Amino acid sequence: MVKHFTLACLLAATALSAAQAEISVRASLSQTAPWVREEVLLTLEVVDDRSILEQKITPWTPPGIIPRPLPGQQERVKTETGVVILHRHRWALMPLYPGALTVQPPTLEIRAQDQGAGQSPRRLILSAPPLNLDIRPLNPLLPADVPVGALHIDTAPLPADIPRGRPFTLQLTIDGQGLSARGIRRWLEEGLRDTGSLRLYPLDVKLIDVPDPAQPLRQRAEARLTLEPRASGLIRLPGMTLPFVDPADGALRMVALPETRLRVLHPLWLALRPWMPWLVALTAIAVGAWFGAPRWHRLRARRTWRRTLAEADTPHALRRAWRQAPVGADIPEAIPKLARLDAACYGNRPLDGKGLDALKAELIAMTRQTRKKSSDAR
Amino acid sequence: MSLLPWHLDVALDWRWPWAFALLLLPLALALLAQKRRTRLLDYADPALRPWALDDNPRGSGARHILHALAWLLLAVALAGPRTPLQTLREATPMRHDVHILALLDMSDSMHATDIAPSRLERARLKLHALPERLAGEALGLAVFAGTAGLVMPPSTDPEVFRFALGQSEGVLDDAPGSELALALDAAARQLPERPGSGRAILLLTDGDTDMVRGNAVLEAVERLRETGIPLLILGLGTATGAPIPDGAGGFREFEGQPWQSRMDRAALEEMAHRTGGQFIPVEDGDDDLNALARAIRALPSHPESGTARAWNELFHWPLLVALALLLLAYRPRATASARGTGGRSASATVLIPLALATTLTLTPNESRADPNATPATAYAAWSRGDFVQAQLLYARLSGAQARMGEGASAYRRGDFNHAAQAFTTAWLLAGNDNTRADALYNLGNAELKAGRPERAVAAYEQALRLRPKDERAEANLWLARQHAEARSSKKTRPDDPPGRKPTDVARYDEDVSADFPTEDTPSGGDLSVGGPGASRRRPGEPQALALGEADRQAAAKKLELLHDAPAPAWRAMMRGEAPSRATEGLPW
Repeated sequence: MVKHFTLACLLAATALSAAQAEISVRASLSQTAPWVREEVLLTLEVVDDRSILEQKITPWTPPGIIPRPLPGQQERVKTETGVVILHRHRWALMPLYPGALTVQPPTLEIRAQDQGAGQSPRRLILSAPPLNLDIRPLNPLLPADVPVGALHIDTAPLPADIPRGRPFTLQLTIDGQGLSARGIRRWLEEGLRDTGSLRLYPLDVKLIDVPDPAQPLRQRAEARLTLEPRASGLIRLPGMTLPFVDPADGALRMVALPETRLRVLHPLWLALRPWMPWLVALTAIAVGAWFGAPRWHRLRARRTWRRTLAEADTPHALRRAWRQAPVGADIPEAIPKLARLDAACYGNRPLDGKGLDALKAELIAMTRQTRKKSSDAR
Repeated sequence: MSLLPWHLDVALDWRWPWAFALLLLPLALALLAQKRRTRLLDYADPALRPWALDDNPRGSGARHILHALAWLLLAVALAGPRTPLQTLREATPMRHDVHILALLDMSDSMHATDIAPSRLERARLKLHALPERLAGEALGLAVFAGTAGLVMPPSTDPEVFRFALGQSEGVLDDAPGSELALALDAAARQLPERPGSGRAILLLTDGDTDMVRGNAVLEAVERLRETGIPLLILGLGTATGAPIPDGAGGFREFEGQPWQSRMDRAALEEMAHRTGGQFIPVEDGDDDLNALARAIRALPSHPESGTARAWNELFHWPLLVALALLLLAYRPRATASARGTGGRSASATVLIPLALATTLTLTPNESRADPNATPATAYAAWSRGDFVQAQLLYARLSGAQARMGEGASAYRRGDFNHAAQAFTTAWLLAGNDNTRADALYNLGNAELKAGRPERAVAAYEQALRLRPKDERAEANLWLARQHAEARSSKKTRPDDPPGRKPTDVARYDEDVSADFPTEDTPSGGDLSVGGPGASRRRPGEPQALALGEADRQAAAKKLELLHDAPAPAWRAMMRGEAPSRATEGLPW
């Protein structure tokens, strides 16, 4: 292949010495039938027999085309005549009009060292022959900012917890061809017209270089969306759509970033969160105290009552003590025993000391059984 | 309306003073209860009353007092107590004639991320949002790092300020350092004294420089005080601080140790107070900007500032106390019966979340930026024929249907170019072929009315490919072709359509007028060429440029790809005026 470069060298300058014949230039296009606004790779290869001291590309403004300079390459290649250096200059050409178009590649100004001893460097003007493009028309209704080339959109993960009122950024990466910062910004803003409770700050879209020898036309854009939630809860982040023309068939396609929901935290919750274990414990204690206090009061009242019953040493004292029953301590089972006590107090059936103690013990036992029964029932 | 029964330094105002009438309700209930009790007392003998009347003497008096107090406080809360934030001075102009120069610190320490996204980013966001809160004050921008420069002099145009703010990014990347004294002097020079006008410097900085406490800064602050320029400071950073990124994935070091950049709050407060200004730390939310706006409005100017009436609402305090009293009144007691306990527990269950909810909502949430911009409200505006309002409302919504509505509104207003743009966007964003066909059909109509029949033909043809049996599109396609041919052959009138008479376009339009859609947004065939707005053209609307379609598209693409990089020009301009660096310090 390298032989072809030397044999089919395309020198515009005719009066070259034999020593200069090893310097040649060739131009090629990655395709000859692109769509309107689809970028084509133009490669200008300069075969250098290691005598080139300096090479300069003259200003180039081809009509009907927007050229985008791409990083050049340099490679050492071994040929039959020796080692040569292959300089590759590259451009992405975007044709703007449909139909046939002849592209004249840019002209090179070269300063080369003559191989003859003692000779001063020579100046050469090299130009490759024109190339032909047959540009296919696009849908005439398509706006100019819809790129012709497949797009891929990717997004960096969002922060997990977003506090209300604190700005955060959403980083989008868009890979494709024929990109422009203005075009991407226009289509992203189109999807962000209604951000609801999210305050949107100006979009920052930048085209960045991604040197990829395998895909020299590939471009990358990084879009940075700064948003500030103005409400807490689940907040809607609207979806975004980027249309593009698929160069395979010229059809309209789109890539979309679906709508998502953000969890925005209330500032008060954020302030409280470190204290939550303590707050939960305190709340549990407070709730326990709130609902346990009445029961504790009841238990204490019953205990006091039982003590009063136990301390009663006469039937009258026992009857008085029984009347001090706390609220809710109704014991229907005790009615026969109380009748016996009433008879001892007011009737003619006195109780001796042992009988009184037995009756007292039975009554106290009933207060305990009642409590147990009510606990079981509960 | 002031109903203040006691003397206070601030004038207490009531939003709805009629709510105090609710205080009469407990009195009425008490009278009713008294009447009922009297009837009961008449019914039973005194000896039988303990059995006849179900009195509950324990705690009832205290509970009644708690109820009464809670009711009183609820009525007070409903009446809406509030204090004025500003006094309204009638017959004073609204414009507050003050020139403010925002002085943005762009030193490396501003890249620390103890404030999200970074100090510098947050400062930019605050500056971006600041013009919304101004009342006619002129705002300019200067930046400083190792040197200082004016980006734009004070202007009352917020968009110009925002543009300059966007352009200021990176203009001092090659000037490391933090020459605060030099920047303050330079900013003061940009604010000459003008009769009848106030002035101030708004400094946005983290104060992280070894010079913030140095003599040079103190002298600069003293000069500001002497010239009567107050220093308002938005402090960016935290006491904990953060390391300074070095741009290569690491952090800046000082004497072999990572440098922790902290905001020097005390020094900044001292600077602000010495000049009669104010120090405001940057926080999440808008409280800092609101405080800054209040400080700006408090700056003296002549004529005196006219202020809008604003209120500090105080209703939540009596409401909270009332809820606490109700909680106290319904706390469980030892004497409570099982039924009563359950009821009171339920009350507590309701009241506790209510109290918490009230507490949590003390800070009012800002929900939608514009609650009126919904598909329903936009369609309502469309339905009542308010196409200007409909267009504005649809323009704030996203999606293909919103663009259809926007385009339809613009079409009805006679703005066919805008309508065509909106329909094109709707076509590109549409999720299904039916919506695409609708958008293309409407696009054809708009293009035809805008005087571009060739594009209209393309639109109708594509609509017919998606919906082959669309009679309206077929009819309009025929009409568009006639127009295109007439234009190409300089004919003034199209031929008669086959089987149709007469040739008059307006009469023909009547044939293709369509039904109004039933969807939420206007779409489809409602925008026939003969629609109500079809014959109207906006007064003064320029004719389309006599440019070929391909030329127009090529020019649009070139404009889109135009790469304007004004930063070097700004940098060069600032270099020409930048004062020389006075001292040598840390590079951040």
